Amino acid sequence: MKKGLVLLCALAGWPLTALAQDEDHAADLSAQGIALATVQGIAPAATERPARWGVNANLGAGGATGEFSSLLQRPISGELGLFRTQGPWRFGLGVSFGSFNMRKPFVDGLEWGLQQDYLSATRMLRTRGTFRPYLQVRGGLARLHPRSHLFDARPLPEGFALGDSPTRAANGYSVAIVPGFEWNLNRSVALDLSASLNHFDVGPYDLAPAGLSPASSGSTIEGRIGLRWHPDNGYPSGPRASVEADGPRDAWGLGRNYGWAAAEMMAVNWLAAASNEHTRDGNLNQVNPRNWKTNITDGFTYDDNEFRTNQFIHSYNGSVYFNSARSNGLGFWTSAAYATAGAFMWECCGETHPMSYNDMIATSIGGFTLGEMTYRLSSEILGNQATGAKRVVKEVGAFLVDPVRGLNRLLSGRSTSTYDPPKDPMDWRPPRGKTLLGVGTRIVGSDSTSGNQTYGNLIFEHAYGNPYDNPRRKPFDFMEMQLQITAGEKQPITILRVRGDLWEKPLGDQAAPKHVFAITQFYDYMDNKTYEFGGQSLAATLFSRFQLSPKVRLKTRASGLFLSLGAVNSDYATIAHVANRERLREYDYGPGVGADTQMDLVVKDQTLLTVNYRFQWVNVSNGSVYSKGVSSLGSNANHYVQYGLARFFVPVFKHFGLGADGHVFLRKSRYSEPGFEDIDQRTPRLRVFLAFNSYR
Amino acid sequence: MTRGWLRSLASAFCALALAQLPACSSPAGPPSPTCTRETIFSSNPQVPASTQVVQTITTPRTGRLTVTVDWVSPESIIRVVLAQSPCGADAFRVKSCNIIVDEFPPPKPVETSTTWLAPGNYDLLLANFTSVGETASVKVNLSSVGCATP
Repeated sequence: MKKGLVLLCALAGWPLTALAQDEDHAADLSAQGIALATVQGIAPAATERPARWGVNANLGAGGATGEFSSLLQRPISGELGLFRTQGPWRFGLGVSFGSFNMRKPFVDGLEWGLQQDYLSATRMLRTRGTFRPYLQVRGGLARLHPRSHLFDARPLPEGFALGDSPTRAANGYSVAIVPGFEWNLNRSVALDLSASLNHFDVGPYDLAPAGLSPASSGSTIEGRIGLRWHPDNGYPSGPRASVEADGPRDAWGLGRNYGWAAAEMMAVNWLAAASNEHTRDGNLNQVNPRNWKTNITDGFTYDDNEFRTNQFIHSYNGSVYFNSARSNGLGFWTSAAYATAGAFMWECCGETHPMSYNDMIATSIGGFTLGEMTYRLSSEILGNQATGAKRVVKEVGAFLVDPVRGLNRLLSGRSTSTYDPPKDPMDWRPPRGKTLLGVGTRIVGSDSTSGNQTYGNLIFEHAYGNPYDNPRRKPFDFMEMQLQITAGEKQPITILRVRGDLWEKPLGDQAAPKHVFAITQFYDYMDNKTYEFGGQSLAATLFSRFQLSPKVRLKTRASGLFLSLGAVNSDYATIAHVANRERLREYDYGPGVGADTQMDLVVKDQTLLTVNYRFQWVNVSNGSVYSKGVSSLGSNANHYVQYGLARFFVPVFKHFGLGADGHVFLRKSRYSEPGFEDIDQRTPRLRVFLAFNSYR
Repeated sequence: MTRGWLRSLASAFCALALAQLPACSSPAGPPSPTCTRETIFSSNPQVPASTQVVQTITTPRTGRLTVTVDWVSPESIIRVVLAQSPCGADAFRVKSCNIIVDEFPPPKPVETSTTWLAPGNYDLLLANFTSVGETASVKVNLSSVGCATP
């Protein structure tokens, strides 16, 4: 250890000798990119600016000293930092996810997490050339949190619930000095080798369960390897609209910025993981490289999170990853790949729970479905040429619908500048849009009228484009969504359904087809006190339209569904095999097939009657009767879900009218295990509402 | 000026690093007594159909538990949950227990080991999911801190 410290000291002092070599140039950051490009024989682009922002990611390992080293040893850490350059300086912030093993004889127990949220100042001691030494100081919050059951609180904290961390976290501060050097691999990326001397103090922590005296502080000495990356090419989230184009631009004038998109996707995950540890105090938040390795080694399973978390929040998170890319000039399918990458990154490294199939599917497929929906909705709201209060309202509205896009518009200055809207209306406000905004009452019953419950609710339905007449047929050029927000329910969003066409083929007359075949992406989320159903499906869809009279049309849709992974409330799901239990799950998981049909009667462009029917078979993979293949009893479950809706809308004055719809949810659950009673569920629902119904 | 500032910073760093040296001799680690293994709980409870029974186990010292639960019919499904006490059936139902082990058949018997646990009381829940009553046999062994394996 002493030799290591002496070596570290020498390493720290060595950059001073390097400083003398190039101090004259140290402040000229603007030269560095050009100079390096010249050195490497790369001609800099005319519009190229020096990088202003940077990201660094590091892994470290070493030894521990100080009081806590009576129990803790072998610190390892993984961290992500974001910084802004200012001459030869870099000022930034970051999160370090570290951990310790316990010493013998507890060496095989679960680790202790050490999360450090820090501010950093880095002095680049050489700003030219390939080899660039630096010295960094940092300080911030430290949080030490054991995962080992040996340190479970006794008694448990009041209000403890399954999923909370049973161990006490200790909060304090940490300071560190990090000398190192970067070896530039190209203009953007450098290999980063460094050492860190880190000291933390979190106040007294009782180590009596291990037979030791309390400890309050400790130090770590780590060798580190990582990457420094300037993803922004001088412009966070792409050049301003006024900057001359230096590459392909999307319809909104954005150049493709793969790096910034990836940095945002990673930052979202890191920030979420870091804030979870502080705010949630769950048993899954002490993330660190040890659990990253364990998660990747152990592979995928199923988890037991709340229905809303698994079927909505994960998909929403995926939409954020998706829009990190989409709002950085990348296309639909590339952005879908970002959603998938972000999902994997979260599953492996964002929480200590094992990676789960259900999260991957909900976050990736659900993510790109919700992501493109929110991206298109925000596009409809935005107005690049609006000014004054109208502009503020539009930017704020778009920000609320698609926050990461709003952030990128702020960073790039696009939210405050006036410039041309997209040339193609399909990229901005596709034709044939319609919106229904309703306020009303929702009455939910069970098997009889007794015990009905009444709720106030808000209905928002929106669609744009149509599969017959769209001048362009890119993914989601035709999209429909339904949102229901209910007061007094177990959570506000009780219905969210999104359908978007991924591919369309008109049948017959290409100019004015009566039938269109499409591949359609479905996202379904229904969550209330009486039933839960959700999933992501890919469908083969046939759209048809029939002109019944000059003013009356009948539109039909028939979709054959492949449900990648559905979730439906179940009666025995609490006995599902779930690794690292967080709660008792009340719904089953499984793939399936089904059908969804809809008929709309349209009079003068207003839909007056809608009938919708859905059948879904869910073949349980994880839930009521174990995971498939695990149970030697061979017992599985099948759920047969049906729901139907009939709606009438009566225009009263201009775009205002009265609507009413009836809906019934039917579930027939068949459990093959002896003693597990089959269950039939029937839940009717009635809604009446006052609605604003607009169409263009 | 800048160079002087950095020299000061590096000096401070070295001072800080050298100040760590006395602490480099790691403090003594946790005590590691000799390995002892003992059965701390054994019973043959009746577990009626569709019912949970709870049994409290007291561990006298830090160690790892090995829980073995068997029953008569291979067709029966008995869920075995070990949780920090108190964790009755009601607390389990409202999800307020600190669950340490949660195992199902098949196959029976269910045998599982825990990670390191502090001395104290733990509740063992046996939940019979089938419509036939069962007689279970429960055995809980404690391996002390000195044992390399549970």
